[in-house]
Amino acid sequence: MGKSISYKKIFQNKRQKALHGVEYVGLVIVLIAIWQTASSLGWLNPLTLPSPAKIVETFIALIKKGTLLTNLWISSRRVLTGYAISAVSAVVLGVIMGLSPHFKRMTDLIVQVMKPIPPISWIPLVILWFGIGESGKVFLIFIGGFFTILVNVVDGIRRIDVKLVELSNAMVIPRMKYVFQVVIPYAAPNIFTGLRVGLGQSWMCVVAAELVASSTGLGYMIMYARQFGQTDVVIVGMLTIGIIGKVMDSILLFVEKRVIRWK
Amino acid sequence: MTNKAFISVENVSRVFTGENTVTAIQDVSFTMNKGEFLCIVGQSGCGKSTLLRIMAGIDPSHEGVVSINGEVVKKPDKTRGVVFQEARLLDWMNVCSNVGFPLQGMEKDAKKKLVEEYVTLVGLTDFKKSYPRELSGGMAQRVSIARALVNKPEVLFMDEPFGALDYMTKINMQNELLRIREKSRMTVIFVTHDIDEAVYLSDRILVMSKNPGRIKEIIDNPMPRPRDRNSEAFLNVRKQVYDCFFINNVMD
Repeated sequence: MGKSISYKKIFQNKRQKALHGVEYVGLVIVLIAIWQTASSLGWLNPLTLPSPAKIVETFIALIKKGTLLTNLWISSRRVLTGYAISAVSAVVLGVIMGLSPHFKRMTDLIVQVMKPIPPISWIPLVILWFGIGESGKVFLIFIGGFFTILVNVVDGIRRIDVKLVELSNAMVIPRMKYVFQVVIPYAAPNIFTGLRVGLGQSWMCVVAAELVASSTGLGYMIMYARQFGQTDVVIVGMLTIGIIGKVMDSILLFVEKRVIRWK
Repeated sequence: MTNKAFISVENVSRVFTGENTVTAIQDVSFTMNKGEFLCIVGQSGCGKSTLLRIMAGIDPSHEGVVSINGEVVKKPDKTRGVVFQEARLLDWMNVCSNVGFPLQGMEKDAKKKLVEEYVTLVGLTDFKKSYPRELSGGMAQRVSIARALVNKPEVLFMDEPFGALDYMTKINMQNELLRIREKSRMTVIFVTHDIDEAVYLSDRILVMSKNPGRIKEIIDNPMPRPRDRNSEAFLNVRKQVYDCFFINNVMD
């Protein structure tokens, strides 16, 4: 059955893969081409929307100057610190909440009320509490990731198949073994969803924090450029954030596929 | 009460309370000898699975007393293995890890050896490292049987274990089960709604009636083994069970 794959099929597979690749980037290329044409024909005001060529030029210039990479590094460090804290604490707390109905009842109201508060609205308090130093930004990123991850983890844990609960009970499996070998693997897909969405939230929060209260980072770079009417720098900053966000998400997706091999 | 019986079930009842209160089983009493193979047969909803779960210690909210080997059953125990209708394998563990899952506090090499022994027993040596998604229904159920046996239980509880398998696989699995049981001489309680299956496997057949679930009849099945599914003796026992449910082909 598996051995008899014909050359025709391999060829078709390759062709299909190539076609998917074209679909994946095709629209982006067309849109950029239209944008560039419109700019070249003078239909767009370069002060409000510079041409793609100009943006690429600025991008290269900013890399050469070191500004872009320095700010990118600063922002990434903040995100990774805040995100690591939120991921670890939310997964641990989420597993406990998911397993203990008492703990869940005790904490549920707090979580449900805190969750809808946009992380950005924490900024005034964060400035009062932490000033404009690093810890305030890390805290804001923590808030941004924490509730999203927590809610997903709790949801995944509580969705455990009662048949597996019964099985573990019938086999007299010790509590800790049950948690680590049954509950957590079962909830792993949900936990990863939470971790991925949480990472996206963390990126949004770092930019928000840097827009308002910072003198470094990509958010600051965007805000500073706006004051001088450097739309090209603003767009380079925005695209950098988008691309890094996508790269980090892909890394997490890769890790998820390696961890959840059984699916 | 009969002190000599290996398993005794005395006046067991189970009422499910909720929006509608349902008496699943009412006043069930019987005894079993060590090494006996008992099949519990009945229509769906007659409480046969409930009875099995109470005996296995998974359902503690019942009235009456079940005792095994002189001890009252109150909770699950390693001396009792359970096989469910669905294999209930852990998708993230390979065949060996699934079979070894119920083992606790064993030295690594001894554990590995024991697990491999049981994987071989159920004929899955070539699939040791396979994951559940790669197994057929019959193979998955073999894994779950090996998992139930790995703690060397005195009593094996099986709740319609072959109910979801196709006819041919089912017959193979029935023969495998008898072969395995021949070696260990365990006591087996086997719930099914398949009359042929019960007649082929059991030493005795406990027939249950519905609403509420009670014992209708206990039929002795002393036919010598191996059994011929098409022999007259087989058909005679089959008819006895059949007549418990149907009169002139109409449901009683």
